[in-house]
Amino acid sequence: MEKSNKLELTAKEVDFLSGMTPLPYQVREYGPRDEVKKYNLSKDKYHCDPCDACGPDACASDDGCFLD
Amino acid sequence: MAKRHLYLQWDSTDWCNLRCSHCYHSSEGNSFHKQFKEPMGLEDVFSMIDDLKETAERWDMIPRIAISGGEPLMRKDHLKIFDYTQKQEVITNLLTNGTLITPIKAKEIKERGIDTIQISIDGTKETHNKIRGRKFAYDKAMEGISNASREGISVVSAMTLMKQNMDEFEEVIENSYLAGAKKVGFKTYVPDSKLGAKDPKFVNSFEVYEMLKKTNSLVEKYKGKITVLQSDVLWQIFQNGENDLIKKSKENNTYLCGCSAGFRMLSVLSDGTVYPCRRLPIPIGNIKEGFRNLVLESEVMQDLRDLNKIREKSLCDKVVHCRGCRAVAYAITRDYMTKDPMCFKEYLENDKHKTK
Repeated sequence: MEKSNKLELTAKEVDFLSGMTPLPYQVREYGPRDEVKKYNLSKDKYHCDPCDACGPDACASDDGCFLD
Repeated sequence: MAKRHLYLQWDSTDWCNLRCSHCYHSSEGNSFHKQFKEPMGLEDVFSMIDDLKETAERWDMIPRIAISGGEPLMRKDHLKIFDYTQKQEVITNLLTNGTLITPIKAKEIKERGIDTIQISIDGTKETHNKIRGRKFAYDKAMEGISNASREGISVVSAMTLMKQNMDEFEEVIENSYLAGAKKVGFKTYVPDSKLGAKDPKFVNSFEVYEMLKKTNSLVEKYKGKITVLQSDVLWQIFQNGENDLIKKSKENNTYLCGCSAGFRMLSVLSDGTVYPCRRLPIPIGNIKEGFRNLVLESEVMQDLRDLNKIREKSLCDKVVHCRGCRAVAYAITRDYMTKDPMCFKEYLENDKHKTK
């Protein structure tokens, strides 16, 4: 079901989705600190998916995520 | 590849037991904080949640809803709604004033899979009660933090930074910690667009910059006790430098982070009216028109995604990972595409230059 949905993406949707930079690693699944440990990332090498619980501009810090 | 969150902030009700001086409901004409508009019924709410979930799956994203108000716990069917978001596996956050979180209510919230809530604390007891227009507001909010924390809910204390309380952030940190909150942060007040820069609560860009500098030392001071959030995107970029991901986004001119308005969030009012962001009061339709349709077809949403236009108007190259606050730009200038008047980049650059 999910696959067929993706196949049906319209040109507008493809254009919209390609306007966002793909994130190479999932910070939120594990929490930023664990993620840093897991992939041995240095602090300036990882990106935290912006969190809107605190408004639209939280990002990029292990202390900056409300949901870890 | 990591998935992004697709996010919906929903004013579940206009009813509120507090009378906050900075509430956007007041500036929108509802100073009585009652439900004058026809609220969305339960069926419509469930359809909205289904729509969010289906759209997120289609776009390979993670659905998340933040339930706000008014005071969300004043909506009588709030538990049925929490049950439904849990059943649909939509990540749910609660944005509340905390005053109605008794031990029983905390248990009910936790049982429905909500493990992070945001409670507003706007200063010392005196300041908080003055801003929030009720003498019981502070004590009840602190009780709410304690009750939720005892139930194992992670509480984030959130302060709206205004002229009236900008010297009281440390008190908010200390008292939130003592009450059991896990994290604490501040968000700058977005001025009333009818008043613009004349809004007496408006904190200017230099004051925001000074606050962020102070916050740096508070992060260290409270380490191990409570997490003091230092989450401003522009600040982080200057602190950490530009990483590979930022460089790649610049090259491709694609959105990375910062303000998500236009890309992956919608704000829904109690009657279903949709704004791009709760702080950007430009109606773009009704949620019954569908999440996908509103995001893709609205001219305002398309505008907000136009990084070239924002770059040209703001004369800033950090647009792929900052974009400023479009709501502040609108409140002050009536043009949501122009430079964020609260931007403190010049101060950062000057300080950086001095230290070289």
